[in-house]
Amino acid sequence: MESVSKIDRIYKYMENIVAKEYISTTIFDRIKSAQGVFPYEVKTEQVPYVVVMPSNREELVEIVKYANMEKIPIFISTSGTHALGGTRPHTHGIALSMHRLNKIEFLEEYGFFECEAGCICNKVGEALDKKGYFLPMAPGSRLIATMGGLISNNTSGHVVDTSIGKPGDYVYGLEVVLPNGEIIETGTMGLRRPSGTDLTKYFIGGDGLFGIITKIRMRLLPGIHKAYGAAIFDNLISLAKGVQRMHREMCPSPLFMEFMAQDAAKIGYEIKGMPPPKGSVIFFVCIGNTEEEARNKVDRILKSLQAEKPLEAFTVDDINLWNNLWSTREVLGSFLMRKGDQWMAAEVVSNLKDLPECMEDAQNFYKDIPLLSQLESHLYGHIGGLTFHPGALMPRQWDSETKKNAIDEKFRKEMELNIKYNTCGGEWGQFSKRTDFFIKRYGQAGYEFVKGLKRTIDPNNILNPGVLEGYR
Amino acid sequence: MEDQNIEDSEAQILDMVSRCRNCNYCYSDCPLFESTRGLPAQGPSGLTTAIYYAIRWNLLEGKDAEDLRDLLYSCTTCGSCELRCKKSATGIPIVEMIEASRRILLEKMIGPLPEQVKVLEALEMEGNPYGEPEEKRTNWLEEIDENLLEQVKVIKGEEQVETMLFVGCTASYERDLLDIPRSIMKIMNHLDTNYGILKQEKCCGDPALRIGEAGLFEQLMEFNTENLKNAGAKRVVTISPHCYNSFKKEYHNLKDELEIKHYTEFFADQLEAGNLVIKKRLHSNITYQDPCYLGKKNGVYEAPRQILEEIAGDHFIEMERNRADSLCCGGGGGRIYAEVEEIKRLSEIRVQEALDVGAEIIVTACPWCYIQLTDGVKTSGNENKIEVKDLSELLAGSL
Repeated sequence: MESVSKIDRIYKYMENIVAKEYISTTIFDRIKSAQGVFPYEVKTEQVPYVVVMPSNREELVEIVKYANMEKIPIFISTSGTHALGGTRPHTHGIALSMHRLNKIEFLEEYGFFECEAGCICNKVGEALDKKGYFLPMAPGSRLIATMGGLISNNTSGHVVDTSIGKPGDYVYGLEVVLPNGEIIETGTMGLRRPSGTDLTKYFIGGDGLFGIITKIRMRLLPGIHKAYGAAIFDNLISLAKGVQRMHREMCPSPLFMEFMAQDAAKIGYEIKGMPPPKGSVIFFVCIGNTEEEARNKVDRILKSLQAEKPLEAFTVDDINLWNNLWSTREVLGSFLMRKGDQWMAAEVVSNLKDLPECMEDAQNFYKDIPLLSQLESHLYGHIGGLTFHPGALMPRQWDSETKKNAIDEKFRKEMELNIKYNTCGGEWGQFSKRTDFFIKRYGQAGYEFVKGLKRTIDPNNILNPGVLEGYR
Repeated sequence: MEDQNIEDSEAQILDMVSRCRNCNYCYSDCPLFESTRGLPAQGPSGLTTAIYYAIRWNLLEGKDAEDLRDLLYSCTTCGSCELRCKKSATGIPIVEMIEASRRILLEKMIGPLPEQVKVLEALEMEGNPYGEPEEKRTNWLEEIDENLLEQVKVIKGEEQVETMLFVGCTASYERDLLDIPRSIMKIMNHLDTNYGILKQEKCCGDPALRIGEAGLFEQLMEFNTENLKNAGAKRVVTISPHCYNSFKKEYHNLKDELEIKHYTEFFADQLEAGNLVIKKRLHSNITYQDPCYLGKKNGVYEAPRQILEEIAGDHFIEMERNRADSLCCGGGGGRIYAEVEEIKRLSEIRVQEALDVGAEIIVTACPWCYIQLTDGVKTSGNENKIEVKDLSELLAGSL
């Protein structure tokens, strides 16, 4: 366990920076901030010295400067939803929670809004919705994930990339505290983003390596109209071919397009009190500036899917039916976990050409993994974004080490497939549990490039150390 | 879990908490997280993580134990986290785990909070959490108009009654709330109900159970069960949603034998049957605070609304957060007896939410919500803008 004198020393210094009630040395705050999403236990050497909640960028600057002076690692944990465990420290340090940086300001006369990094995604979405705008982000963790973390990850979540792109595509600029404590503002207040060097891009999807985002400026997008469609295929290969055809025929991309293999869909349907589907299910949302535009897109996609002879392909006009369909997917993991075991999923992404083959690989994902092959598994994913989430139920009775090994095995298999298809995950980030993948996918030179940047920007490796190295 | 020893309880807690997937979605609906500093452990899975490691790492002594106590007793037990976990995650009975942990803390003399020790003593000595003399429990009847008392039977011994009005401790002893039982009696009389109240009513035991004193709860449950059975009641109507929840969920020897109704359910049934007719409609804008132990815990959302819609029509406006999404007033889980951290007072947040939709009256159907919201109106300086009423007061006034 960390030494008490060091905790006291850090606490005393922090008291000069942040109101003392926002500095916690309570063991339970410290453990929780080290937990992250993995089901294996926190180790004593991972527990931070203190948890600090700065209220503004100036306080943050002072914390970072102190950490540099004392060479104490800083881990940004806040909501702790990072799916690769990026928020879980590998050593003692200062855990930062950004929840107090939670202001949002609408600058409608400029055409954008600004929010601080600790704003919760869902709350930002609701605030935009009330004013008739639309937030182009839909991560599964939106209920609690912060905007700072999401932009550092640049996650697509449920969104099909070819529909509206990545969240970062809507960011006009950022305010960032660098690892040396300097503050920079990036980007522009205009509606045209910089050509050439745009500092914003170093931090969007930067995996938290190069700076702490404190404020985000994002485009105001008009509210959207939605229309819905669904199809049922008697086999997954036809389903994959249908999606492949949709993209190849340059159909307008759906905003969301989900699929569930028949076994998974049956579970979801049963929970929602619907008769079991006759095959594997695909359901999607299209958006438009008018309802007609959205409906036309649905019709166009259905036409494309129909060429692969689904059992059914139809528009969904009844919003209750749509909500039920969407819920079947949403409740699946939670229902399975109610048996008491823990659901873990991988993120396998296909290229367009090999989508049917990747579907087959995803179906067989766990078959040749010794520890995991006997587990109950189900397949679903964001098929419009060519993403598969093969998931399995891991017994909670397994000890921490076995759970860790199982998760490592899952990531190794995920790596193998994403290397095979020359792709990469579009939701969870590139390092932490994926550092080995990054090196294989982009070569040692690619990895050294990032390491070089990190060394230059953060010479003391203060900020989120271990993410780049993969110590998670 | 009451009969389990500490080791068994700890093992059960470890097993249950190990189901948590650490998604932290439960924080999104948690009044504790919303009203405190928002430190990592100040939310549902923060509390369960704390319990887990306290047991695993033996952190049940000294300052760690005190920190754990303060955390665990800060929960309102509103159940929002359980609803969220059921909807979006693994469906862990989070509140049950928190309450089981409180029992362990009590066994180990770590809990409860200092102010709650007096509550437990008062429950044991006087049968109510306020330390008021047991024999004065029905003194409130002396302040009620005599004509209202003609119909009610005060059950002292062998008398039989069809419907028992369980008044509860707060409505019995808190004079500022006298209008609530008075209104309910007025409506009962209007319905010509064959009803009574117990002369020797004791606390339903909810505070004891929430604080972690399961043995004391058992004693109170046995006392009330026997008295209710002796009176031959077919139905119990409660004023407090906390009594309602206790009878419905915890009184194992009673819940299957008697019909248990919250007064809003009882009156909504009568309204539907045409036995109650609203004659005076309200023209002020009203909104409704869902008591957690009525709504989230027992799914009673529509009965109060049915009455309020009848009374106020279009003047009944929902707050943005309503039904299962409603925000706890902060009074449950034993918190009403103790000082716990509130950077933003839940009652003040709720008052503001009511003002935001243009309400002039916040209606509730729980004595604790009533007290909390009344305080919230005062402390937020909104006394001239909005008032708090119990639903029974509005209904009685509209007949």
